Amino acid sequence: MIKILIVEDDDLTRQNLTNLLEEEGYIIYAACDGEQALSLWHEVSADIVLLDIMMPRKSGYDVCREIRTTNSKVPVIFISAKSEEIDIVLGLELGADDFLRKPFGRHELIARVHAHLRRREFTSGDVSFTFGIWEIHSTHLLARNDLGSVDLTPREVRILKLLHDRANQNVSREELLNECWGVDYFPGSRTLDQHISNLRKKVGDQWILTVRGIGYRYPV
Amino acid sequence: MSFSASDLTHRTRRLQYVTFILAVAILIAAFFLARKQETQKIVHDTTWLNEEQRLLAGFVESLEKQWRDTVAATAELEWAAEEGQRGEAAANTFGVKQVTFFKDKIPEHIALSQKQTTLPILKPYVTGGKGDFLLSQEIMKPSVDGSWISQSAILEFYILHKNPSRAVVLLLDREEVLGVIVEEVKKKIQASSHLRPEHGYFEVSQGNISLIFQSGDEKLNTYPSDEKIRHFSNLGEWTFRYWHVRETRIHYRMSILVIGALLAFVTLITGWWFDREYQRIFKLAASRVSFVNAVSHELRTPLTNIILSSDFMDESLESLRNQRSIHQIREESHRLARMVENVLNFSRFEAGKLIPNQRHDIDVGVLLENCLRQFKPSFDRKNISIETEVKGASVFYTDPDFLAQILLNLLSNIEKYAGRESSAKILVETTASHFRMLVEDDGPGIAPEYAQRIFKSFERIDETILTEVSGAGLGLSISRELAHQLGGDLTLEPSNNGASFQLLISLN
Repeated sequence: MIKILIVEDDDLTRQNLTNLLEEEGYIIYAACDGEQALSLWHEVSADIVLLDIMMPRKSGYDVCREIRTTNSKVPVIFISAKSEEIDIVLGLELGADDFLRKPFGRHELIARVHAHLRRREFTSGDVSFTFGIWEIHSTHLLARNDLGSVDLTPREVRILKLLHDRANQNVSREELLNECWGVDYFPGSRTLDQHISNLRKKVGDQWILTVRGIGYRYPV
Repeated sequence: MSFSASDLTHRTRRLQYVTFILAVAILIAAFFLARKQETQKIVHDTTWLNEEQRLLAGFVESLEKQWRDTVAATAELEWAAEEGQRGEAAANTFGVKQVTFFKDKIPEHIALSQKQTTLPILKPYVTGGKGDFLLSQEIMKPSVDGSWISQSAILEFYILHKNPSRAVVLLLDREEVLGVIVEEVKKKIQASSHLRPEHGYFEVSQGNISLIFQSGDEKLNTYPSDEKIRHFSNLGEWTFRYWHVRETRIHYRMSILVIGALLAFVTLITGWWFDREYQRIFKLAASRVSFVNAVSHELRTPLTNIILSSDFMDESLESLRNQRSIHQIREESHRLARMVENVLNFSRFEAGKLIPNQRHDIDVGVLLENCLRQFKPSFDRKNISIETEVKGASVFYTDPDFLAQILLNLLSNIEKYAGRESSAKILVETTASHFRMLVEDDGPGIAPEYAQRIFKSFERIDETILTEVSGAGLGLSISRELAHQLGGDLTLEPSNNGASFQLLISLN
């Protein structure tokens, strides 16, 4: 599971970022100031960090500097309303990988996060499982074959994993929702439809069959 | 107007310099106007001048008398001379050029001249009674065959006749005689024991031009002479001139100096006052810009929250009506975000700080898609169709924020001005030498006379078209400036149909 550390002092922004990224299937750890961020960082060591700059007690620059002393590879994306050149240069000099300027939308946010996760180095153990004609790399959120690759969201990886584990069996909508979203999470049925529809576009219709009145099936 | 601190210092300093130079110029002008140069004459006693004149006049008269007597004696000798010795006496007399002896008949006009031609100035010659001096060749007409006058330049004759049928006529050259007399006068004047002026200038001249003697400071003769005595002798006019010494004094008129100083002072005070007002206004404007800047920055966080919330809700809303509302919220938030960015970029530009933040390789196709996504709902609503084409490499090294802002502003223009049912096209082309983005629509277009104006800040064409359309007139001017910062230019391309904007960035 991919963990994201969100550090943002504005409550609403923090909540919105959490909601959006959780929905994509990421595990979110949220902090509202620099000190809390660092203690969370040492506790969970996230796969990617979204970091506000102007925060009480400890600024995003300080947090970034301390994260870099323990981990030089984790992608750090600064989020700020400030976008003057000096801010960006300072942030990048401190070891940040990117700078996301407010205001931004869901699409831009997710695209950036995915882009940085994909950039991580591939290792031999990364191939998670095969789905149809694809190799699914769960940590890099990629489906690859000889012809090319497509991006996946963590949620999509989970759906594919469940269908793969239950190959040639019918998987009910409830099971998919419970397994891939969690029992405490209540997405509308339209949400599942949309995810399946997106996945079919990405990996091909023939690998996700609809079973009327029940759910879906992965034919091997 | 620009608002950076260094600019303020620069402008203020320039104003100070101008004021100071103006004040100094006024002072210098007043100094020259107040300065007055006066030349005064210093008068010395000039009784010596009269003495000198009297002495020289007497000398000239005596010389002329001597010569007259000599001419008369010569005529007598010629009268009495034997046939073979005629001309000998005349040859030894100054100024006698020719001798003519009439022994049988005196020409008529010479005979007549005895009665008619004596001029007042020649009276001394006539009174001798033995001969006549006559002045003019006109009167002494030559004989019909012209034989007896061989030198035409001679101006005077002496005629001696003792009976009606015989005469001796001497042709006289008064210039030659005058030359001799002038030389004598020069010697006399050099040797004169009369007091000469220690200062001042004295000159003696004969006739109008011939300067016989001068002494003293010659420069003084640029003034009109102070004393002038003229003497007329038989041979001409003798002039004595004297100039008193001149002394030049400079003095200053206090009133003008005081007025000049006052004017300079007022100029300095006015300059200082303007400078202070200028700084005050300038700081006020700068604080307004920084206020707008701060507010715009503050707007970014709530905008982010609105956009993220609407993005999040969009997924979960079942009802079409609710989805429409959410789309509107998102659309308007993006519009607000564009305005905030334009205002911020404008204030950066005013402060001279509009420079690309970070350049890296971007996928133009993705950028295009992201920008178009913001406009999809409004384009759909207005039935504006849009077509995109990417030629060549889609990866381009640039500042994505700047490029996106330019594209968003151009798309916003299409949304505002192209009109319903219009169609638009975006062509992106990357070659080894340039990056080109062409955004065209088939709307009403922009008249050529507005082609440059539309790129000026706060400028919006034809208010009748635009009364229903919102906007501050910043989008195109800022976009062009962003294009410059990316090393290219944004231009309105000539088009028969609709508006066509081209962003061209040279890659060399």
